[in-house]
Amino acid sequence: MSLSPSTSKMLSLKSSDGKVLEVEEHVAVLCETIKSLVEDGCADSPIPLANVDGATLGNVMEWCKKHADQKASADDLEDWDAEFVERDQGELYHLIMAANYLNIKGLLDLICQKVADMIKGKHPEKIREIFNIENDFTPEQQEQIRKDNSWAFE
Amino acid sequence: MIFFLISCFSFILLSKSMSLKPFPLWKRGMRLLPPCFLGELSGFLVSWLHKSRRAISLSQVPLIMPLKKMSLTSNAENVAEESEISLLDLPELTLECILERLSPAGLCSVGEVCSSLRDRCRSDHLWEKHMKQKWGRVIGDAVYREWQWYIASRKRPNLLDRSKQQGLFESLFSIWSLSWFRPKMESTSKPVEFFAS
Repeated sequence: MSLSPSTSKMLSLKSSDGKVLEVEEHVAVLCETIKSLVEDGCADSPIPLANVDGATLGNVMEWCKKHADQKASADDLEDWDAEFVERDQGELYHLIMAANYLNIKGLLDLICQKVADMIKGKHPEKIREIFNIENDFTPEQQEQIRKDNSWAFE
Repeated sequence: MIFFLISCFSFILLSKSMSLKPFPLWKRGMRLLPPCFLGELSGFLVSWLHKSRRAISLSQVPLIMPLKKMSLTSNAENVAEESEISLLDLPELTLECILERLSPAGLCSVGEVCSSLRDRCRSDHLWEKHMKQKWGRVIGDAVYREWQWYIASRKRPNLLDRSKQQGLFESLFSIWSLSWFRPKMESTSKPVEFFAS
C-alpha cells in the first residue's frame, strides 16, 4: 500500500458506541486489520469496529496520523510518542486493547514498553496495587519464591 | 419523589449486601456480572420495595434522606472501580509482549505478584533472551549443547528420578553455581576461545 497523501481517499470507521470517524486511507491502513479490509475491497461502507469506543478510536487515529506523516523525523516521533503515552491506566488499557484488535504493531510496542516501564523497579506489593492484582500465594509459597529469587540479587 | 428515594434505597441495599462479602470477591464479582443482571436485580428490589411501600410509614422518610447522599458516594466508588484495570485482563500475547521487555529483576518481582504471573515469568523463552544477552559471548556451542543435554536428561524421568519439568531457570542456576565457571569468568579476560572452541 503506497498511496501518497494527496491521492488518499477517505475511509469511515464506526466505533462501538456508534461514532463515525472519517480518516484518510493512508492513515487508517497503519492498522493491519483495516489494511486487509481495504485490500479485499470491503472498505466502502463505514467499517464497524465493535471492540473500540469512539474516544479510543480518536486517540488511535491521532497516533496513526502522526506516524503516517512522512515529514516527521525519528526524534520528533519519539518525543511525540513519549507524550502520547502519558495517560491514565484506563486509557492505556483501552489503547492496548484497540492496538491489539486493529493490529498496529508500532502502537502496541509503544504501550507495552510504557507498561513495562511502569513495572520496572517496583516491589511486588506495589505492582499488585498499581495493576489491581490479587495476591493468591500462601505465606509459605511467598517465602519459597523469595528464596528462589534471592540468589540473583545478593 | 418517594419512588426516587426508594430506588436510591434499593441501591443502598444492593451495595450493602455486596459489601458484606470479602472485598476482592466483590471486585471480581462486579467484573463478572453483566450490567443487565445488576439492572434486573435492582429492578426487582425496586418493585419489591414498591409493593411494600405502604408498610413504610412517613416517620421513616427522614431516615432515608441521608441515605440518598450515601448512594451518590457509592456510585462514585463504582466508577473508580471500573477504571481500575488488572494486568491479567490483557490478552495473552500482549502480556507476553510486556514481560519480554522486563529486565531479569523486573521479571522476578512480577513473578512474586501472583501464581499466574509466576508461571508466566518462569517461562524459558523469556529467560533465554536475557541469558544470551548476558552470557552469549561467553557460552560457546559446546557448552550450549552440553547444557541442552543436561536439560533433556533432567526431563527424562526414567534416567533420573525427576518427574518435574526443570526449566532453563533452574538449570541456569545450577550451571552458574558450578565453581569452575565463575572464577574463570572473573579472572581471565578472554574466556571466549576456551568456551567457544
